Amino acid sequence: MIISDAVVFVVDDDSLVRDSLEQLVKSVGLKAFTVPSAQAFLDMELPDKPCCLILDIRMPGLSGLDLQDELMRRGALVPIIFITGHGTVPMSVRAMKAGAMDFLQKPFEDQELLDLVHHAIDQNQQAREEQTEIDEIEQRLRSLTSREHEILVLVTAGMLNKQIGYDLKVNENTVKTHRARIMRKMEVGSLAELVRATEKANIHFNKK
Amino acid sequence: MKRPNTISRYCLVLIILTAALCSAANISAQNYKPPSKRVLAIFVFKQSMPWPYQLERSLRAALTTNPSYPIELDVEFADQLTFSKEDYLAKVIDLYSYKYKYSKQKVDLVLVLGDESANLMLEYGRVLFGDIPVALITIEQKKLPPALLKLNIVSLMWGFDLTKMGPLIHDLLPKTRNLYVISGSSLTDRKFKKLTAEALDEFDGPFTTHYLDDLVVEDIFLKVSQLPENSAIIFLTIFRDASGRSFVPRDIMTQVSEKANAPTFGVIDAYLGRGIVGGHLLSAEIQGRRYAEIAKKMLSGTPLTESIYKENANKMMFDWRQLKRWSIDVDRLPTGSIIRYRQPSVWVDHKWTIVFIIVIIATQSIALLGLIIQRRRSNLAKAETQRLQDERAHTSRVLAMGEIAASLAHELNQPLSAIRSYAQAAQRFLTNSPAEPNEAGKALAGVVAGNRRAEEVIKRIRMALKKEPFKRAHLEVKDLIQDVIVLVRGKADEKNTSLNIKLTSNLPPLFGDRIQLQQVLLNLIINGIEAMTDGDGDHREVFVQAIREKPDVVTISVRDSGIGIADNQETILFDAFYTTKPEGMGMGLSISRSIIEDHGGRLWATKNPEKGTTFFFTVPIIEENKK
Repeated sequence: MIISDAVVFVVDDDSLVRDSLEQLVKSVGLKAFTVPSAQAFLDMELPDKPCCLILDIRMPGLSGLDLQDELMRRGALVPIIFITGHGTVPMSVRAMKAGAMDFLQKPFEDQELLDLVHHAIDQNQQAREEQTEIDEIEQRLRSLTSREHEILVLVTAGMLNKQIGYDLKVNENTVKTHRARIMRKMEVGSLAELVRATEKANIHFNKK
Repeated sequence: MKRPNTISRYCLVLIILTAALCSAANISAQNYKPPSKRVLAIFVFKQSMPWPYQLERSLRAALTTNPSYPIELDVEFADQLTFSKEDYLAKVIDLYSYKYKYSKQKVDLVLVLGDESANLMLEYGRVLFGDIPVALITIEQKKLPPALLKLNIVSLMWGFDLTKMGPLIHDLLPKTRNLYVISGSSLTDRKFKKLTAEALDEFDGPFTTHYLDDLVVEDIFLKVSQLPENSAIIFLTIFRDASGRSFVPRDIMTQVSEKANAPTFGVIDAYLGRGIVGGHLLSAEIQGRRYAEIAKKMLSGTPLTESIYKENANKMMFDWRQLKRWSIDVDRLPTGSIIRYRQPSVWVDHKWTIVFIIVIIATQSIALLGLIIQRRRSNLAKAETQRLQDERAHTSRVLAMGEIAASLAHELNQPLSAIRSYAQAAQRFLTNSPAEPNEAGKALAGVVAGNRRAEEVIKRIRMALKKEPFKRAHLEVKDLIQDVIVLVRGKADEKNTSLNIKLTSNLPPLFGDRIQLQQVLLNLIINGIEAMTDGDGDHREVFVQAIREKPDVVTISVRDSGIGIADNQETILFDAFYTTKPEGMGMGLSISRSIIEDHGGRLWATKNPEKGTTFFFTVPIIEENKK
């Protein structure tokens, strides 16, 4: 359940609050890393590990919301838990819309925060795994020849070998050979698996 | 011991009626102008002694006012009291003066004053002046040898009247038992002593008379300072003392009087005012006139009937200061006494000056009193004004704190929240298995730190709300600003405003009231924050800056990028009850300005060129050495 090498970032300009959150996170066996400002966080290289970000919404210079925007722009997969002394409704709406995990108002229950942290890390873990899968599928897709790609598109569109052969003006056996090679290259055992893989990749592309 | 000793002194007049006078009288022409007569006076003294000088003046004056014919007077100072030796006299006579001078000029009469000179004249007069009439004036009357009587030589006496001395002292100082008579060693001195002794013997007073004669003056000074009680001194003359030194008698008298522990009486009027109480004093002026009369009589051939002229020559004269010194009752003085040197009472002498001064002093005193009262009132009023000002400042501060209550809550919320996190972390560290006591310790340290910070905040709030009288101290600009920032940080957060500070390095400490200066900063920063909530403000900033603009002034500015101030409002901003805030009282800036002016500084506002307002205030620096 607990991913021991996950990292929890704490970004807050108030050193006391920052340090207290670090202790709290450490007390449940997670690694914590404190950062005194949004800019400092942006300047860091993020580790290739599951992580989440506890972020003070108000800070001198770049605010927490500014940081969230920038991370989104960079496509960084970091779930954000906002904390604030006195949040306003519009502020929280903006944060949540931008994909924040949650918006906690001080003082909060430690358990609440820790649950959110765990949840965020799980989510990040999943997202990371999913991303890895997509990356693999995309890689496999890239290994297909253009003929194989053409055939893949038609296969996943639900066309039969005969129809594909007719369309491409090749005989049906040739199509079968290509199809078998595609299945092998894409590392799938069934048509259903192939369709799911291509769909994932497509979704991902669409999302982008 | 009371041997009379004639003190020879002055000489007599020798008048020569010339043949010319006789023939002129016989002619008796109507318009005949008589030829002038010439009188030669030979003084035993040396020139410019005080008493003889007076005498000479008086004599000359009386002679020259002769109505019938002009009289010329020549005076020779034989100085025989200084030089007593015979050879000196011979030289004086032969070489120096008379034989040469007066054998050529016709002299009609010779007046010889003093015993020594009289003796000289008796011996050499015939040789010098032939048959010219001569009058000898001495202390002791001369017995003229029969040979001389045929000539026109007369022997007369000084006009001293010493007989009244004893009764006078007895009257003035009835307790007197010892009388000390001081005299010198010259012939004149000795003759004088003799004359005095005779006079004192006549008076059957309760005195024992002691003669301090033939002594050196130092001994005399010593003696007179140690006289027994109920003593009195009679100072005659000391032309020469036992050591042969010659003196001006008056000067010795003055010293005797100063040193003496008993009153000193004198014999000549020249002593008066120089230390004697007084006495029956021989007047130089009267003596001079008397000699002139003698001369005139002798010149006109009128026979002299008396050899002694005492009447009216002596006067009872006293020195008022000495009477006071010896506590002698003025009422005891004989009738007709002359009192000199009366120190008129200050009042009589300076009546109007005194009145004027008193009036001035009184006026000044009243003015001073008035000023003191005014000052006291003014001080009271100042104190009252200060108290009201403090009161007003306090009220305003409380209001300001109310305005930032949410901010203050936030400022407390931060450490409280941190404390909670720390505490819960600590709990977990302890319940984990295995327990992590080291980590728990760190977390608990955090609890303490958080607590401290909360306390700091509360302390600052309490300080700001405290009602304290104005009290100046040295303040670091940085601390001053930081303390206020802590109070308003939350408010700035809430309004999404960044608070930035810039301090130039090496700012000197200010000298002022911490709470009140912080109040001014608080007001200005809150104003700045609130000025911007109305603006659209994607960039909201309050910028606090402190610089040492001049050597003796620190300028602190608070700049916002808010709505700014309307034109011409820069001044009315600071009026009481002027406000643009719907919930504002309009007191903040007015009070801030009073506070800054109390500190000797200025508070003003200017519109920023682009957007917003900047408030400035100055606080004079008080250097270390001016503390």
